[in-house]
Amino acid sequence: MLGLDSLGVVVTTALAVAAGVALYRFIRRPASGGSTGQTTSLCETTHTVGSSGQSTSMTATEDIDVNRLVEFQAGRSGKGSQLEAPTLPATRTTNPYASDTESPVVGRPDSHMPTSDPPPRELNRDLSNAHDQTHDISSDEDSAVDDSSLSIIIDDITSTLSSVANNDALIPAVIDEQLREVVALEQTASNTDVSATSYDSPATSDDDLCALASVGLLTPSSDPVAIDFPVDRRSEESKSSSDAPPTIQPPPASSEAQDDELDIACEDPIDVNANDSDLLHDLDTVRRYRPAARTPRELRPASQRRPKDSDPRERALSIALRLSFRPGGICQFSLLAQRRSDFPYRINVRMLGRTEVFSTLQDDWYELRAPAELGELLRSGAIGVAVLPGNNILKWTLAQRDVYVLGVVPDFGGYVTVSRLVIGEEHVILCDSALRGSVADALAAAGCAAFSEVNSTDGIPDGWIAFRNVNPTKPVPALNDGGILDTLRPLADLEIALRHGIKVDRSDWLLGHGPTIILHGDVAAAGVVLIDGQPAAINDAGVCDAPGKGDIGEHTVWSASKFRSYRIVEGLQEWEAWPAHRPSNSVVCGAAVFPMSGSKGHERGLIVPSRDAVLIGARVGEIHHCLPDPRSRSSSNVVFPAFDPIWLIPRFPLRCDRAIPVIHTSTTLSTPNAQTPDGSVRRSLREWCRLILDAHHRRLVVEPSNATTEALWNAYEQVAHAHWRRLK
Amino acid sequence: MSGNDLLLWMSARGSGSWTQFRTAVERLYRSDANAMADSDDTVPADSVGLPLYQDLRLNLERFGFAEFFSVSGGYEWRVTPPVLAVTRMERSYIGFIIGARSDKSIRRLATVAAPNVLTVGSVRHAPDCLSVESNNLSTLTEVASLGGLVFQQDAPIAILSALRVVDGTLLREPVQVPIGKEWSFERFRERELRWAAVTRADMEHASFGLFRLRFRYRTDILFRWSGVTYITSLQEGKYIALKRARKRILRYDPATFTLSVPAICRPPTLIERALLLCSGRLPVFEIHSNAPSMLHYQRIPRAVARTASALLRQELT
Repeated sequence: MLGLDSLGVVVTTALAVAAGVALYRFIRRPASGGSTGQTTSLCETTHTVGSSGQSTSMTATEDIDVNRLVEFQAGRSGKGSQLEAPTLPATRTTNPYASDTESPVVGRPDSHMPTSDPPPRELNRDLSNAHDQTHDISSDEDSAVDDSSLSIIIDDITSTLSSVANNDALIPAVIDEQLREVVALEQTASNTDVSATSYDSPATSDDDLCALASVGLLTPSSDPVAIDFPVDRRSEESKSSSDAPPTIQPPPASSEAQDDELDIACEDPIDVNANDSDLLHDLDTVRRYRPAARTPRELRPASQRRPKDSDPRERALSIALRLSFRPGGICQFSLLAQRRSDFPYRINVRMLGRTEVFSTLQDDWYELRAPAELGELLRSGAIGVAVLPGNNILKWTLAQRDVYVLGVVPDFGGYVTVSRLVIGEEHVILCDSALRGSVADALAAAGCAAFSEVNSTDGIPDGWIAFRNVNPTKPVPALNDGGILDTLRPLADLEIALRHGIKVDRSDWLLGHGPTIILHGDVAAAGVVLIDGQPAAINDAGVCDAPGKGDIGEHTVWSASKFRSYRIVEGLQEWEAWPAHRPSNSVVCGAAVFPMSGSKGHERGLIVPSRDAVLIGARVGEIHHCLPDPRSRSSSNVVFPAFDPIWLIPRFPLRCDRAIPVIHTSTTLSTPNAQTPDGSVRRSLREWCRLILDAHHRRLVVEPSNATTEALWNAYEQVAHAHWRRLK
Repeated sequence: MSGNDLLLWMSARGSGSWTQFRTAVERLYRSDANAMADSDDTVPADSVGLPLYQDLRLNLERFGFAEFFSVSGGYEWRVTPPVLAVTRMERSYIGFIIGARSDKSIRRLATVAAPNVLTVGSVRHAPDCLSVESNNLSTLTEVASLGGLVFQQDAPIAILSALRVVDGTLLREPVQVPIGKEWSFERFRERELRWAAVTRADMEHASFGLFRLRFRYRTDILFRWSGVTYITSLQEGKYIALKRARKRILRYDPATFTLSVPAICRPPTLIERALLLCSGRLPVFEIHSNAPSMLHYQRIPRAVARTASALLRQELT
């Protein structure tokens, strides 16, 4: 239930934001009319604060809103990677507006402002000053300037809000919501063409109504114009000589009535009176950690698989716990957050309701000191969010869990979170005190002897205990019930190796040359091994076999300890030639010679003596000039006529050396075809006939010299003679 | 494991990078330790003791199973289409199956080649040589058609006919001599058939000659022609220099149909490919203690030997 003081704070806060919104809209006047763009549905934002300090849950709708704010901050500061979340000045202890029933307004805080808040009228002046300033800025056509001016306003609002708020813990939650609205409205303006007149009703959506109602800015009315915003900010401001700020309709004086009225469209209202340390959660609900079930899984259909080119940043990055033992056995904790090579060296992350600085420890990991509320953090988990330039949102998660298994990890000192106990390796178990007995029993079942207990006197967070010198020696079958104690059941030390065969790609083997599946390690404790769901036969050497393991398609090899998959593919079955070598007018690729690309000739070439000769086909008009390549200087030449060549005739039979023969080039006795090819020109017809008749007149020798060839040549002569007469 | 698995892998993929090829050799090919130990990429190709992957690469390229080429940033390879490269023998025709292959294509070939025998000949550090022999050329044509092969009649002559003569006309890219004291200079001695160390000044003052420059892992082959420096390939540069020096090195034995060359003067890739397609076998490498080592190409028809020698501007002796 809202107290009067708290109510005043809320109202003041809301008015400040609303004023900022008005200023912002003035700056970002749209060019033309259009529909409104997207807005943040703050109605979906629930923030339930129990007055008794119960744990809270906070569901944010759009992480991006806060992040856009962060981006604005970064843009204003000019820092690409050093993103600064809104910094909050010291809070106030009194609410100057507690007795103010008039229009509560927020103004632009001045850096020279005293720590105590000025009376409203001075704040009004400040607001109008800010407004004038932004007005001047907005006259600049550079849109980047508008962003910077907006960010200035946001900063100012932030500072003002913080200066009147009572509760540090509440400030982030409250401001986050208000600032989200600002950012959302900014998005609306930047993404749409909205006429100035549309700003008559600032609360243009139910979402906005919810947002404003949730902070006491709106009476329970469906009238979208319950809040009066100036129609034309610039004209209004230029006219005003008294620096009157935009007025906002005050909420009802009765807080109780307001409480009831606030429940209209939104869910639980914000209890601004809460002083709840449970406001450590940030943005999203943290999920509870569940160990992976060691059960056979079917291959997901391709439609459900994550696409290979999906942005890996869409998945949350993980946060791990690291424990180091200092001299004297004192425990020191730190957190490790995943990092990628393109992440900045240092990054500000919004987590636990405040800004944490992640510093690079290694290429793949950030490190940050464990917070004071580590115990609660470990039990409840956390989410951290940051924004990189380009609106790339990063999200880290530390899941809720009651048992942490810490092991020795290469490249790290101390003990770092691992998924479960591993036989033969040393671990530290951190668990909730309530699970002490169960954990101890589980460790004993895993063959852990001589482990010792560490408690808060040695630096373990309150409510937690640790077991060190944990060395499991026996595998324990997992229950696969999702219980956290499954992490204390070490798997059999087993490895599934895929050897031999012809590996075509990462996990693809060639059909007929599939992998040999070999088990290494504690095969006896491996239990059942399934290949494609079928029990595999395992020989003494650990080689697994099952029907169909070499068939085309995807295959799985499953054991309780390990899982492998592979695929059998057929590989390419067709191969095309390409211009690998282009020494002359043809192309050599492998063991064959091909025509140049774009050539109309057949792919099958013909080797002819390198001289000025012509190939003719069976049909009248089929001719192909064999022009020797002067650069080749070879005794033979490869040509690619567009028809099946029958004879090779010197180009000028009447002038050539009589020893040069007419060569029959075809392997078949193709008789002449009197029909002319389609598209033949008269010139080619004449040429075809001339070559034959001139060779006949010159009495050139025909090769090979036999009766069949001679008879065939005579037939061509007759056809040529008949066509020649016709052409005349 | 042999070159067959390597060719199957290459055929299944179609193309890839040099790094992938080397990785596949490491994974697929088991050879003796001596061959695996030497991983120096700078070993000249015309000397003995090549690293295994270089040996495999050379043989794949010699026969025409794959083409290796340089691209910006590295080297790549691509398998060639399957071809039935036919060569005319004395009384028959023999077709060698060169290029990509898969288990499926081999099974199909074995089916369509019947009743002719699909012969398999093993080749060291190379895929098996598959061949089909017939007295009738049309039979081979049909085998190629049914087997999905490109039919190349008279493959050796066809390849040689498509090539240019190896002479000074191939020198077309004038370049500058690399700057830097770290470069080492060697000149090819045509008479002795060996490389001799020289100085930068020797090269800059030479009007003709083949030079090899080395600096760390880089080797440049340059030819000085009338005082201008050109870039050239190693084999072509040697034959240009040999022609210039009128040094005859090709020997042909018509009785045994054997063409012999000094090992240091291995013919350019495509000419050698034409020679190998006459027999389907690698040349016999003969080592002499007091004389240059020799390469003997077998079953070379006289016409092929003449054409090859003409391209190399050599006279057969």
